[in-house]
Amino acid sequence: MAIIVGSGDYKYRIIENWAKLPDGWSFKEVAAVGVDRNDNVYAFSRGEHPMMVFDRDGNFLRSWGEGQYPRAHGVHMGPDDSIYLTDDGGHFVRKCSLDGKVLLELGIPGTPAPYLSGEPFNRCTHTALSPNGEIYVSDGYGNAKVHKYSPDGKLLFSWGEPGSDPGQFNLVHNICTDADGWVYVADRENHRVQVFDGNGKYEAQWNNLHRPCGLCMPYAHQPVCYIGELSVNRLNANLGPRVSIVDNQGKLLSRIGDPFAGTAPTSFIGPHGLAVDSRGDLYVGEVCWTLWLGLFPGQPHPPGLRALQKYERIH
Amino acid sequence: MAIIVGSGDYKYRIIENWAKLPAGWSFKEVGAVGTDKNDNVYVFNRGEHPMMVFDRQGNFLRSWGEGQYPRAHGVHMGPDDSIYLTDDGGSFVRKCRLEDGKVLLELGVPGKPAPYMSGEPFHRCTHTALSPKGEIYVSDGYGNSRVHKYSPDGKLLMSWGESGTQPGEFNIVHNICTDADGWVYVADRENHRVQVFDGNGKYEAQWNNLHRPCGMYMDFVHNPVCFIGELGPVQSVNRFVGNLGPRVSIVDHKGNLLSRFGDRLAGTEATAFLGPHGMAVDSRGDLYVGEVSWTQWPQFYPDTPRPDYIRSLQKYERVR
Repeated sequence: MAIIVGSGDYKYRIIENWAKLPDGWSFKEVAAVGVDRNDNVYAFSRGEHPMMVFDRDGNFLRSWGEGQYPRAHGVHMGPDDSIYLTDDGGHFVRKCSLDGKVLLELGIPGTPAPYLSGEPFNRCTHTALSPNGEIYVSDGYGNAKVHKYSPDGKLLFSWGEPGSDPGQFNLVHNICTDADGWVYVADRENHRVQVFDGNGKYEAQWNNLHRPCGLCMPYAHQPVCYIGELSVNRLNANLGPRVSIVDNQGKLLSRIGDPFAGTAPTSFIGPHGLAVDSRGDLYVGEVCWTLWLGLFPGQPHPPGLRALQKYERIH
Repeated sequence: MAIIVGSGDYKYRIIENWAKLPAGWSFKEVGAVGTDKNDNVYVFNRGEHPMMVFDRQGNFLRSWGEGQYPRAHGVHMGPDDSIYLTDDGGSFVRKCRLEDGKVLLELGVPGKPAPYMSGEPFHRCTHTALSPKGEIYVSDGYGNSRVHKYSPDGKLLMSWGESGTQPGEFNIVHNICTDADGWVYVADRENHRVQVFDGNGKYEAQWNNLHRPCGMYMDFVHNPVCFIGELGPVQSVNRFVGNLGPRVSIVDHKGNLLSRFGDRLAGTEATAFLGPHGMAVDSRGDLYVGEVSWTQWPQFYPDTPRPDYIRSLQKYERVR
């Protein structure tokens, strides 16, 4: 019996137990996901094998990165068969080949900048690319900044400071870009997405969100945006965790998730990383271990808590 | 040495230790404040004397309500020398006489909350405001996601709102105020916004760029400014980010920021706040800010015992 979620033009069939992991392996939890041009899926996780790669049917292809990534946080796919990984525990960004060879590194692994210094990085969270290949880094838990780097890793400039006004941030948790050069920043604890031009000039904000955490945008003109939203507890309905799909002005198009957090296929615990493949199929990675305790206080982690699910688009 | 806070047209001189309480008395913490037409100040608090009244110099005039108010939350001053008190612990609203607290009207059943999130009045209601015709709006609250509208004599006319983040949905309806044009302003605290409705509950607009807007005050005029008390960040991930409150923001009736004060982080200095929860402005423009400082203390300083005394009310004299 197929489970269909979403509404309007964005309806999905849930594919349960999609990822076929090697025996005894676990994601623990999945911070971020990416899809390459062959629709292979890159799951950046917080288990013993930080990067596991699957084909679109969920068959395991390979793993890499063992011992190299203290705390997986962000994935962005480069146009040149590369993958940008952000590690908030290690305070670094790496551009890797799709088999994990490090091509470029930003930040000093294990050495954060001072808290709220504005210098890169203190628990950086995510990356995105400008139309010219410049690299934006959202930074993060211990800074309130977006940094812009040249394609070869030279810091060009940074913007942002703590606060709730336009251009100010309260936990810069994710970043994405479109083909027109707009920059979209998940300002998580301000409950909004802020939109900037490529020079960091504030343009707009999207509201009516609850702790927007993960962002994903197809790299196109005026793309839709897939937003993973977090909740605080399970007391009140319709405050996430959920996935919202909005148009390029932030208007809600479709929304997935039960009224309350849960482990049912139709519900979420912590939708943290999203990716969409060439067919429009959606992958949602969840930080289910980290958030379990807050949502289910006093209840031990169930074994095999779901950390990744596929949502096949119905056209 | 005078301490001046705020900016632009809304600058204030801080009057420290303004309230002269009877010896041995304490507010504990202050849920809400109101001022009457003589600029006397009504302090609705969570100590043993829930209502203490002072003149504008801070001289104690009288108290009332002892034993009658489990948890002070909201004050709205009526135009007819009345005061509307909202008690979230007791889940009721009372219209009272100013001089002695005599109850003129009661909404809700004290001590008997409606089922959680039932939408029925009340479950930890938070505040009241009046329409131009004297109808009573009640924000409700911690255990509902509703605004209720009552006739002046207490008949339930309609309710609106549900849990969520969309326009017209609420995530802790914490305060409510109105203006002389009939607009209704709702502090949707955990959605970090103020929503504006017409008198029939139709969504009109929202104000953003706020952090946990908690207390509100508006003069009952056309296009009033709004005084907003904002709570600070209390999660481990953002407690020390700064510039997010606790603070007081003064915005125009479209939500544009006019003045803001409070230190970068929570604190006990005269210029800082812990939990600006209830506000009132008198005929001279002087501002009173009541704070739920006892409740907020452990959220900012989980490892530090609360001092015996922390401020829960301060006067801000407007500088013109």
